[in-house]
Amino acid sequence: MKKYILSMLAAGIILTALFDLFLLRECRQSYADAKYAIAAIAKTKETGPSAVRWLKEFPDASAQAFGKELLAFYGYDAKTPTIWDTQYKTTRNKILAASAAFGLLLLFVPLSVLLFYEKQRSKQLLALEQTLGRLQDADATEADVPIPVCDDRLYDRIHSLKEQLLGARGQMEQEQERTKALITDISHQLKTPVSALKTSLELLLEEPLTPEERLDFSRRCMRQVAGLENLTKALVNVSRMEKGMITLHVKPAGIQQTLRSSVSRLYVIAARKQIAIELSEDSLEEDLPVLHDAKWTEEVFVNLLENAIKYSGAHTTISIRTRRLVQNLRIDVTDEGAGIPKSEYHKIFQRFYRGAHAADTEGSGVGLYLARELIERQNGILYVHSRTDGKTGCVFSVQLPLA
Amino acid sequence: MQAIVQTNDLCKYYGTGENMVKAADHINIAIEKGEFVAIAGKSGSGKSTLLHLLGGLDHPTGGTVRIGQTSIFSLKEAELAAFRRRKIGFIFQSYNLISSIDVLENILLPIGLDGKKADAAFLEDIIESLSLKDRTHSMPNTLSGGQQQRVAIARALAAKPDILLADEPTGNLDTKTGMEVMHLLKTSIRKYGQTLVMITHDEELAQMADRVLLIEDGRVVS
Repeated sequence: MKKYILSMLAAGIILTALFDLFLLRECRQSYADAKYAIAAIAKTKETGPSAVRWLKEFPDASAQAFGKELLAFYGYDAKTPTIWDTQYKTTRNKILAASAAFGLLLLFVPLSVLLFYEKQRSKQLLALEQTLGRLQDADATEADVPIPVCDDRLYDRIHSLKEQLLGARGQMEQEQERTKALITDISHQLKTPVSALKTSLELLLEEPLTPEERLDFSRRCMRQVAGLENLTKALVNVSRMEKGMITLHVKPAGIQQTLRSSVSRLYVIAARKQIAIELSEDSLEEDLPVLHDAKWTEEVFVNLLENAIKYSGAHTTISIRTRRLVQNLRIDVTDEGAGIPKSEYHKIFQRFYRGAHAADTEGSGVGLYLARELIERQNGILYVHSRTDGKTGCVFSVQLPLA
Repeated sequence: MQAIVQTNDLCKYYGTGENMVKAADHINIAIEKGEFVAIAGKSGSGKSTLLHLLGGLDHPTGGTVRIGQTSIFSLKEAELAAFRRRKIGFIFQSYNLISSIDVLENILLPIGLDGKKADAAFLEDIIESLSLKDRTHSMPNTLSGGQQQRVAIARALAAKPDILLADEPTGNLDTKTGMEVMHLLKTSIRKYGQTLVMITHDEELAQMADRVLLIEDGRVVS
């Protein structure tokens, strides 16, 4: 902008100067012509017909020479100013004055435009500086940081910077809130089993007990320690998940291998309870590639199967079926247990929630929370519904995107 | 953390005296950015009224709704309409499609009106996810109810609004398709940091939310 105006200015001045030079030359020439023409007219008196014709017919040089001669005769040499020379000077001064005025105007207009822009610019810069300053302020919200009017690219840049910063700050705050909630939850979860263990140990140490009672309390302590061990494992996983320490490597691969791995890890435990696990592929579909992290998805299915085994009676079957949807593959884990009341559907995926009927079964209340989080981080969903065939039991469905 | 949606003593009364119905009775809720909140309750509990008030489709008897930094009922009618178009995507049970233009044009309508350019890849993604690929040039009245609902969902998602307000969005779809639509909604809000407020009476759908608000007689009971 500035460069453009300056070069326009320079070009204008040069053009004016050239135009002036040209004008002055023409002017001087015409005064000189007039000076000698008068001599020529005097000559026509001698030579006859018309001055115009004479001027046409005779080359300038001879008229000039004659004019010079005549003027010299009356005592006007080249250095003595004639009336025409005076007039030439007046005209020249007028032209120069007009040019100077024009030149000044030429200077003034763009310069004032330039100054105006400069002023706008510095205003914008000041506003931008203030915006950036406010952005640094830790408590700044969206409305505290208006972006001043400026050119589009700059605006976009600052806008995305602002979004990024405010977004990151919001995330940080959320993160802190989550950490706080996590610590509260963990301390609550640990308090009860630890104080139960403490009570049992106190009894063992301080009370006079029969050998049978002693054995019973020792077993109780063992169970409590085992429960604590499970809880700690689960809490470590939740903490790792919440702190982003679990990285998922999502790759297109058939789900069957993942499902088979998780079934093989639980087959013995299920068999001990006389529960069968059936793994059947949708007979029409080959093993379609699904975008998933095999290691963590296996953990999810292990968790779902563990739950199913925990809440199912003997001589029941847990079946795993896959079904192709439009964009996703659905994997259903169906059990023949007691089922889950619909009013608890949205609660069972909450961190540390345990159903009323689950009180007498071991569990930490984080399994389903973790499972859902793991599936959702792979752009999938995990949900529960009741069986549609009229039998009791529930179906946990995982939908994962087809590759 | 600042809430993206916040209500303050929001009230909506119909009728007077003994016939007065409190469809919204001093509702104070805060919804965080990126949150998926389900509003559950029996029919007539006031859940639709609440959704309409949150989206500025209905004026309250008292109280305020703040979205981002804007108290929406202090806006002029035209400003409110523009605000809604830019910030909020609506998915209703009635599809509100325009019958004289084709599916794709219906989907692009809210974007086109704002002079924004459609994100082609995103659009393709939505259209494919909702299985509308072969239907983009069909007229709405040649589609089944389920297909029309999918067009309405695509239209709401296409503008990538900050907030999606959905009233029984999968109400007319079979469970299988419904869950696939839910999948798309969940993935979309996670991917684009959108906030979803969904009305449902169905526990199977409510479980997908991060949080469930239960409404009874115009009040939030849990």
